[in-house]
Amino acid sequence: MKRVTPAISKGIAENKESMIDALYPIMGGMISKYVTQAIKELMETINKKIESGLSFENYKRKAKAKLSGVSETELLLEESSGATLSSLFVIHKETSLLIAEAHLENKEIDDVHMVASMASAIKDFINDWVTYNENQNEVQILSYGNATLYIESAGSVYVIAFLDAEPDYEQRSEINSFFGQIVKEYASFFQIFEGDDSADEIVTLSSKLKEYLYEQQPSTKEDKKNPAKYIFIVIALLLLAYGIYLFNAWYIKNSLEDTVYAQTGEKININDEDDSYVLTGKVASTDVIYEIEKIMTRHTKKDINNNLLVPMTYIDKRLKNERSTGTDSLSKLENKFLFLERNFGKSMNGMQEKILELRKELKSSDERLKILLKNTTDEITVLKEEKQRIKQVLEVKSKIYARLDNVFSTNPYYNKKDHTLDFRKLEVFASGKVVYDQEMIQIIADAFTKYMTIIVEYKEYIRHIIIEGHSDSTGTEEDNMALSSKRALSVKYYFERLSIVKQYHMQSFIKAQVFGSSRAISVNGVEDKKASRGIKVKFDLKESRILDNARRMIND
Amino acid sequence: MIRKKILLLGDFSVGKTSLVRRYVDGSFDDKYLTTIGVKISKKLFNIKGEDHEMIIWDVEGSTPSKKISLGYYRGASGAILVGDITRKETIEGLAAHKEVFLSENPDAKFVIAYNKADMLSDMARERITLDSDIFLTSAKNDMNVERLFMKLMEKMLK
Repeated sequence: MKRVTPAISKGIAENKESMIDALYPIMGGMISKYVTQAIKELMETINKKIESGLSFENYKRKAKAKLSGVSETELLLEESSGATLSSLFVIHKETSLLIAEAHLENKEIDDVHMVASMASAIKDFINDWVTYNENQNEVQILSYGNATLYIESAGSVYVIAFLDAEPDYEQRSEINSFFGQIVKEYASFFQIFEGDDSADEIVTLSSKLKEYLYEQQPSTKEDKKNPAKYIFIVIALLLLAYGIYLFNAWYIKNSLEDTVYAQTGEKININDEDDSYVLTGKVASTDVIYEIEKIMTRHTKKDINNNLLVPMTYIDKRLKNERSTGTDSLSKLENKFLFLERNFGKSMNGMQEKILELRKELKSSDERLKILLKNTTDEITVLKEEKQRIKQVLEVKSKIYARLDNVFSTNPYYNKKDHTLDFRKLEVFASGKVVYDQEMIQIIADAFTKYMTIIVEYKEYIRHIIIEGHSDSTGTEEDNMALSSKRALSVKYYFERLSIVKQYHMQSFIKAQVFGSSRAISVNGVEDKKASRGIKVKFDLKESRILDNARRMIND
Repeated sequence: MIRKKILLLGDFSVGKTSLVRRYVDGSFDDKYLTTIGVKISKKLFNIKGEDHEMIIWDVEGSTPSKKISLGYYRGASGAILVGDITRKETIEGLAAHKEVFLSENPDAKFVIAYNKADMLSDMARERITLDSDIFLTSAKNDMNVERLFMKLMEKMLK
């Protein structure tokens, strides 16, 4: 019976490379392809090792090649061939069930039983077409990426070794040898195996697989072979490092001593102790010590323990100089201090007197300010009162005017412009006479009484009732003044006896005022002598005095 | 724990892979099926307080013109023979699969699944003759899938 399908067989026969490429992702590189890949990786590994030419391993390899007579390339090939074994499976050939397994730590495989069956299926698949095409050979290597499965079959089982590279002949022989021992020891168990993993043989077999796995680890083998070698290398490296440290310290110490000598001419000792340099020896002066410390600071970051000495003769001399200089300086300072103290005392006295004067002035100013403030406040109060008074007077005046205008609206002797009674158009006086006409004076008295009826209501605001006396321009003005005065006084006398004046005690309010012919009346440039000889009556409020007071206070 | 290798056999497109996919506890990718003709899955059982594990080999469906590797058949303790109940030829072909399987594993056990039963009417289902080893199954409706595997495991353990 044919073991592969005709279609696959035909495909392989016609285009083997394509089939290999198609199958590669699943079963890894086929053997021919794998070899090419393996050689490529091998060359890359060798190239990397050659490129790391300055590494310790490279020098070690060169030394080994010289001593052993084996070429360096051969040694490189030897180094490159060590594949790491990470897992081992023992699988029952008939059922493809996993019998036992072992893994390195952190290299465990999930679902080992499924993996074992799948690996068996892949192996069967490849064996089918390999057997059909290529002389009955069984597949031994499956590779994919960095994973390689080495498969060895014997009796009723086969072993699968999981490696990170293809095992070389020596490694394969070693695995085969171990596998041979296993098969021989467990042959009867393998034959009766039916999938039960609770058998004692599986426990011991797994243990042996694991033990073998760890024996195969390169680092483990090396460590077991010669652990003392690494201890020796570590000690040697430590000694070397200590020697380098000592040499370095010695070199720096000598270098510093030479530098100090070159720059100061002084030979001193420098000892490296723990974290500081200890300076010992004698130098000429303290200035040199400072200079040496500067040099040390420039050349090292370590602390400096300065034990340098200066001769006593130098110190005595220096002390004398400093003492002498110090005494002079002290004396000068004392004098300066006394001078300053005296000046300070004077200044203080002067300042105290000045302060007292200022205090007095301040006190005086304060009092003046208080008085001024009080006066100002009083005056403001007065002004406010005056203002109120003026306001009242103005209101009274307006009221009087309004009432007069109303009462005398039809009276021919009332002058609405200045709110006066103007009797000059009446022929009260004959020319040159002071005796008034009886009829005319009665008219005047009636009007005056009516006038006073209003005025007396505002008595408290009234200053004067003024009777103006006038004359014509006939004769001298002196005569006219006397004439007009007499005329005014005679009317005043008449008025003082009127009942309204006496009832309200207004006699003292009535005043006569004379004008002579200064206000004679002219009509079309011709004097009206009759009209000019008469009297006028008016009143005068106290407002003018109040306004005068206010004006004076403002000016003050 | 007892482990057994079982096979899933049948023609193309009878629903073998769907049956397994609904049932298993772990599985490899389907791409293995199309490339090397088999995909491994596993299923755990506990029967009478004892753990058992089936390693299920889902084998690519064979046709008269394409045979599968007999290497896959070897060592199997049981098989599920799967046919599509809506395609008569796949039911008739089960006899050939059974013959090959038993020729490689004479003592092995098997059960039969008439799959895709969800596509039948109730009346059609009643007309089908079944026995204790034959199940009407549907991966789509999860019909009798568990019973199918349990029956095989019980037969293998007798």
